[in-house]
Order: sequence, then C-alpha cells, then structure tokens
Amino acid sequence: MTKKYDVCIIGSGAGGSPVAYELARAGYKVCVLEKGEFYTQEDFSKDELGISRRKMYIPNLKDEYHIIKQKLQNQEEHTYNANWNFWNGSMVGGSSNLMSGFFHRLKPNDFKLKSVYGEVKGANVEDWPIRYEELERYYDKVEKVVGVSGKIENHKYLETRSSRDLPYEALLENKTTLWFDKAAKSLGLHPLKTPRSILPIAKDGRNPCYYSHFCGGYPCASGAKGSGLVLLQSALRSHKENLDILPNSFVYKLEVDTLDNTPHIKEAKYFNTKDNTKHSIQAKIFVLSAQAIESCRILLNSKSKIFPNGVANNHNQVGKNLIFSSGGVGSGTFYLKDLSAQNREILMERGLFFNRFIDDFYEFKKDGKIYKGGVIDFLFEHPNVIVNALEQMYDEDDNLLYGETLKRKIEENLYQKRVLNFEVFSDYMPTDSTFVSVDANFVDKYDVPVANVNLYSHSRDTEVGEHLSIKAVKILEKMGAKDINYGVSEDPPPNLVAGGLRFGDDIKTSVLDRDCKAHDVSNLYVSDASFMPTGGSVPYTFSIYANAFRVADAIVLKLKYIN
Amino acid sequence: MTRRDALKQSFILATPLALVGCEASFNDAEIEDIFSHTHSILFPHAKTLGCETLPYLKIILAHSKISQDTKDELINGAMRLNELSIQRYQAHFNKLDVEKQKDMIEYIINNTDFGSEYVRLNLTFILESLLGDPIYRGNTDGKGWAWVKHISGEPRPKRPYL
Repeated sequence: MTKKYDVCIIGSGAGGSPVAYELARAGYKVCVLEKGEFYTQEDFSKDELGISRRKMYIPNLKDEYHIIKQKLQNQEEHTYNANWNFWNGSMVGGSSNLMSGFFHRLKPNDFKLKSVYGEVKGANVEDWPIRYEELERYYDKVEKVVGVSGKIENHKYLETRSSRDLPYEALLENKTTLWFDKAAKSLGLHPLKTPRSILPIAKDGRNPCYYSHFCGGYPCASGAKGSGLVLLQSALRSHKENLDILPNSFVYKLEVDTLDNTPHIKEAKYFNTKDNTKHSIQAKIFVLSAQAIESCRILLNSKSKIFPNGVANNHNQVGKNLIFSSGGVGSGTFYLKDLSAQNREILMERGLFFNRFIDDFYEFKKDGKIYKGGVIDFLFEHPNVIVNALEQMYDEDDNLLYGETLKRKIEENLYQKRVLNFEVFSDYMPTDSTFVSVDANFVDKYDVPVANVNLYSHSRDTEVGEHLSIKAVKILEKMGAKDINYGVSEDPPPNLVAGGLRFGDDIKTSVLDRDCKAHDVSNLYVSDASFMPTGGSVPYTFSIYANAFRVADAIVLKLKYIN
Repeated sequence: MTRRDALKQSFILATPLALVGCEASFNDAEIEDIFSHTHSILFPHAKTLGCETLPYLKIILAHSKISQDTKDELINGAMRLNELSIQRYQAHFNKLDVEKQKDMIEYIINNTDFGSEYVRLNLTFILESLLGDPIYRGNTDGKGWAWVKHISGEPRPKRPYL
C-alpha cells in the first residue's frame, strides 16, 4: 500500500529544507524527494579534482543537458546544446551546501522597484505583492535558526530590523581588511562586515567553522555552513518519525486531478536514478523547490487535459520572466615582493575571511535621475591550486608555454601574490526574452524534455554593473593593488537564478499567489527563488530561506483547514 | 568500429590490440608510449619530482565526466603526432631523440589544427595529476603540492571521484 504524506517536497535546498523542517516539527508527515545523493559531513572533503574540476555534485551534461539560447544586446543569437551548465548542486541540501553564504537582506525598496524607481523600457519590472515588513520576521528567524554571523553597523541604506544585531559574532578576519577599511573610508565610503551564514561557534549538533581555507564552492565538513542539509539533519534528530528523505529521486511529472471542481496535484512521479525504476508519491500538499529552472521544467512537462500547456500554465506564465543576479566581477593583486615581511605574513594568512562589502551604491544618481544600484562584496580569490596553475599556461601574447618555461612561471606566480576579488550584485531586468520552455524534440536520458533556457541581458543590467564596478576599482586602486581589472558580461551567473514562477495578485500575469500557492491548483506551493518578480541586488539564498519559512507558515494554516 | 575507434578503445581498456595494414602500425602500448614521451617533453619536472602522470591520464580517458570529444582529441592527437613524425623524420615519435621530439611538439603547435589543443589538454591533465589529491595517484606523497608550497584543504577525500 502506498504511504500517503501530508506534504511532499520536491527538492531539498534552501527552498525545500525550511518547509520540511517546520512541518516535520509541527507534527506533519513529510516526504522530501531529492534528485541527488544523501551525503553527510563525513562524506565531504576539499577534493579539488572531484568537486571543482569534475563537478561531482551536478549531473553529467551529456546525460542531462539544457538547450541555451542567448540573444545579445547587439542582436546576435547563439545556441549552446549541452555545453553550458546551469545545474548547481544535486544532493540533499542542494546547492546551499556549496554556497559562500553571503547573507544580505533585500531592502524595502526591492519589494516595490517599479513604484520607487519607475518602469524600465523593454523590461517587465513589477512590485512584489508583499512588503519588506511581511518578510522581516522571517529574515530574523533565518538569522537565528539557520545562523548568520557578523555585525550590523548603521548606515544610510540599512533596512529596518527587529533584532538589533546578528545572533552570532563575526567570523575571524584576515587583517588585510584593515587596508580595505582605510582605503574605503578615505574615499568617503562605509566598509561593512559581510553577514555570513557560517557559525563561529557550535550549535545544535553543528561544529563551528574551522577556517578550512576552502569554503565557497565546497561542502562544509563541520556543519558550520547554514546549508539545507543541516536544517534537515536537525529535523531528523528531533522528529525523525515525521520526515522521510528519499535521495536519488528525480521528479519528472506532477499528475493532476480535480477535487471539488478545483484542480489539485494527485501524485508526483519520479525515477529512482539508481535503477531507473518509476515510482510515485501521494500527499495532501505538494511543494516544488527544485530551483527556478527545474521547477519551471517540471510544471511545463506536467501536461494534462486540465492543463494542456503544463500545470498552472493556462495563462502561459510558467517559465516567463526568468532572472539572474546581474553585476560585474573584478580583481586586484598584491605581490609579496612589494610588501614588508610583516605585511606578507598578514596577506598570506590561511583560512581567515575577507568579509567586507560596500552598500553605499544601493542607489546612485546619474543625469539627474536616481537609479537602483547594488552591493559590492569583496573576497579573496579562491585558493584552488590547479586552476591557478592552469592560468599560467599561456604567455602575454597567448602562446602556449610548456617545459621549463611553464615550470618557472608557475613557481614565480603561485603563492607569490594574493588576489582580492570583487563581485557586484545588481538587479537583472526581467524581459520577454529571458524564459524557460521545453521542446519534446530534446530529451534527457530519462526521455524527459530538457529545459530550454532563453537568455537576454537588458542594457540596464550592464550599465549598472559597469557603474558599480568602476566604484570597486577605485577602492582597489586606493589599497595599492596591482593588475586591477574588471568585466561586465551579458552572460548570467547560472548559480544565481530566480523568477519564472512569479507570485502576484493577478492570475493573468503571475503563476503563484502571495502565499506562493499556484493560483489555480488547490494544493501546489512553490518554495525556491522562482517566485521572485525581481531579485534585488544581493545573492538570493537568504531571501529563499526567509520566504520558505513564510510559505511553511501558510502551509500549516492550509493543513489545519484541510484536516 | 573504425581503426581509430578501436585504438582508442584499446588504450582506454588497456587490453592489447595490434593493428596492421596501415602506414603506421600501432598497439596500445605504443600509444601509451607516445603520451609518456609527450609528457616528458611538456613537463619534465614531473619526473624530477618523482611523480608519474600517465596513470592519471588513464583515469581521465575512462572518466565519466570527461567528454568523448576530449578523449578523442587526446587519442587522435597522439596518433597524428606519430603520423607526422613518420612523415617528417621517417621514424615513430617514440624513437626520436629528445630534440626532434621537441621539434615535433613545436611543429604541431604551429602548423596543425590539432596540435595546440593536444598540448593544452595534456598539460591540463599533467598539472591536475601533479596538484590534485594524491589519492588520484599522480601527486605521489604530495610532492606536487610541496613543489609549489600548497597546503591542501581538510578533510582530504577518502576515495577518488571517477
């Protein structure tokens, strides 16, 4: 006999894990279907070859690919079949295992971008149906439950907070942050400590950060990083009887039925990826949290008589207005040969974080008009040694080096300098040209249509990225960095994806209601970044977590009503 | 299966396979030898460190996450290098002295459509071998890390990802 659950959650990352955590603790029977493996901290390592070079935590692109169609601002169009990866982390806890954990909140104006900053020609900017104040207590909850460390300092754009400071003290910092603070202040800016979803102390079975030196891009072996995995482990410790996590379960279709003349999800169909057998799960409520592109794909592939274009897609909104984080990246280099012995030691100290960001350019004025800007995070270049060695393979004229010449270049460059990077985060304009679709002619190894990801970066994206990158460059110059460079690209970062299943009050222009329930399906909720009409100018994970706790509260109310 | 397909397969599976009736006759040991000599020219410091890069290349040629295109470019590159060596010096690449082998590497980089990529791929996997975790068998006793004064992140992998 098939076990029936109160709630079935599809995906176990930052969107799915808080819902599972809350509902299992509230006494409901919860099943989580996760496509990837169930690794624990004991399985995690800093294996550069496996994790960084061979991408062990994402599917093999030859078996499970996407079709990427990119339209450039100069109107050129390019198609990439199976050679541009948009997967981000298939395992219990999802890509939150691999995040750097920069936890900035959205600000009040991010919820009403259209009202405050006006329409942008060629973009579909819309206000959110909820306000910052409705999400604030959930940000506060994430800071305490998932754990955010740092120190809140007052500044012009600081959002209102119900807790004065963060619940965990700032992580230990590399002393070169003092060089940064001095340079930024001399430019009239306000250097701030980056809030991180990393614990400096032990908590609830999690060990403190051990300053491994290999954090972003790698799973955390101590449990200090606030991944979805640690939330699920916490729920399993306290309410194991209520929570079943089924790894290696790839959901490919939601089956729809009608109940009281209203469409509802009857079951989720999935493959066991180990033996390719087909299974299904029944539940009262379904929660889709498979990341923006995959959540859109599952709905679009779930065609039925009731929804011939895919579940919740009778108004053709599923997959539309996909967004990413826009911005730019750059760097400056500090060479040991230019520094005193003491400063060399400071610069090369392992493990300690460079937790600094600049929020002074959240807004900026240009030609008499106020524009929405963004945040600039600063961090050391990743210490992956192989990639740094491979960068030495060419000379300045792009000639391949080998033999003794290459050996010398590696010796002269590796660990003879340290690079400080910056990352600009700004709003990516939602447009008609950036969306997810499916095409039955292109299928994966399970014979399921793959996601067609259509990309177009609005000129506003690159203009703002350029403006903020130049500001970041001035700080690096002031610090005395060498070889300063930056780039603003139309290529979106695949790990910072949102939208596609907008929430809103109008069924004709949105897929979800303000509780993130599908407008026209009685028991389908979405809890990942896909609900966002606009993404703000920060990494998404913190807001995904906060909204997931909000959605969990809405589901508890719904279940009380059903029961 | 074409001749080249068979050769690729033979090297990947490390089973003996002799082929006759072509300009140059090969067996899997000969292809392995071409890679070995290629690596000696491209990065002799590996041997100085006491590290072998060929076992790692075999892992790469059988790896689930390495595309067939990349595997083809490696094997075809080795075969074409040998063919051109026969044309240019009337001798297999493995039989050339070091100076002529260096000349052949320069020749394929500057005069062929495959040479740069063949060299780039081999260098990539040589450096991966030397600087990856010793569990992958290339970075013997961490000698590659010691060479560049790299300290690995902890914990280290308990098993290789293949």
